[in-house]
Amino acid sequence: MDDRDLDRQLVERAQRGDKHAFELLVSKYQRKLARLLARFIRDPAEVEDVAQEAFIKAYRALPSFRGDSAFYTWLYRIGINTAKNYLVAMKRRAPTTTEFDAEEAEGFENAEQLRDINTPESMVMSKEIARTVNDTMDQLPEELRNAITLREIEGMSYEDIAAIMNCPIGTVRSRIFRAREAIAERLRPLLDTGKDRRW
Amino acid sequence: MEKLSAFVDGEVQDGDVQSQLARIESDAGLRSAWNTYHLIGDALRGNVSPDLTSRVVARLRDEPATLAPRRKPAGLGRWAWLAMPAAAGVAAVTLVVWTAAPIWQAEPQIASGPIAAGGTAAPGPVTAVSLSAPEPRTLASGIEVDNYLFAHQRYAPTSAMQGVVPYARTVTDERRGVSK
Repeated sequence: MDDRDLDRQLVERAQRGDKHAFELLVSKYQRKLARLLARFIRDPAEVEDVAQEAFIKAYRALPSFRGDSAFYTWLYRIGINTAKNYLVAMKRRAPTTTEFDAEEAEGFENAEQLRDINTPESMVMSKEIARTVNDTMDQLPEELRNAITLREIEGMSYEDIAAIMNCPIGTVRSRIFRAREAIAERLRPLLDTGKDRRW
Repeated sequence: MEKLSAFVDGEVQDGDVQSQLARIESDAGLRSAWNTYHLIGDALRGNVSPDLTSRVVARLRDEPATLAPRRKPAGLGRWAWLAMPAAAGVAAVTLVVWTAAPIWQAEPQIASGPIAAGGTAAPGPVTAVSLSAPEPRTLASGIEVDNYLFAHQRYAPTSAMQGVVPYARTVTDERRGVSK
């Protein structure tokens, strides 16, 4: 099974009425979608509103999703259309279809400045989270840092990482988990102090 | 938790997916870990922003549960669409054969094979039409054929598909007229 298979199973559960399954998809793709929308909606608060609206539209359209494309590709199109409609309603220029295409959806990882997707209020917290993650990464043992980098930055499968690191897949799995837990341990105090917003 | 970490990456066996999803949905701690692991991944890709999940979930509470119809087994619909025209075609061919069969069966009576020099008809090539004839006929001469056709004139088919029969009848009539 790969990442796309997991999404497909979550979608099928959501199509059968399981809202928790859809919640997991929202959690997984929210920031990716928000960053996409931030490319042509400059106000971070508006980006959040449009992203939220796109997820609701996606949920309503779930019965028509047949799985011919990846879930994110489908969500991406809904996000673009929602943003276009929003900009038209606000009498602002909507992006043309050639500015963003479905091919780009899968590999949409351009580095963007944090300010593009953060309101002034959330800016401090976002910076703090980013700093904590980076500091913890620097302190990780090399094999843990390499394993999670190959997974999260390069998007490699466990099998490929095992081949590169010359170790069993089980070891890759353990290293990625330990790296995540080390970072999560440092993040939890920050995340628990959020007053009215979750991170 | 290590299982959850692998699950976040889609690195589990197919058979474990449903049980793992059920655990996540029933355990708030696992759901929180799911969120945190995705936040870490997003942060490593330079993409940190507030969590929208709670806002979306709040909106979803007001939404009716979506219930997509179960999909039919793949390919069944396509076969059904192919079968209907095929059945129509077979029915059309059957109708044509049924209608035209009596006409086709009339022709071997005059065209069962070339007449041999000795006065007997040579056995013709085996055809589907000759199978339907009760007995192979032996025609002694051209005059016998003429007589036969004249005697059965009123039973001869009159449609446009009767082949050489009208021609033979006309010739016979003319010959009889001349002999008279």
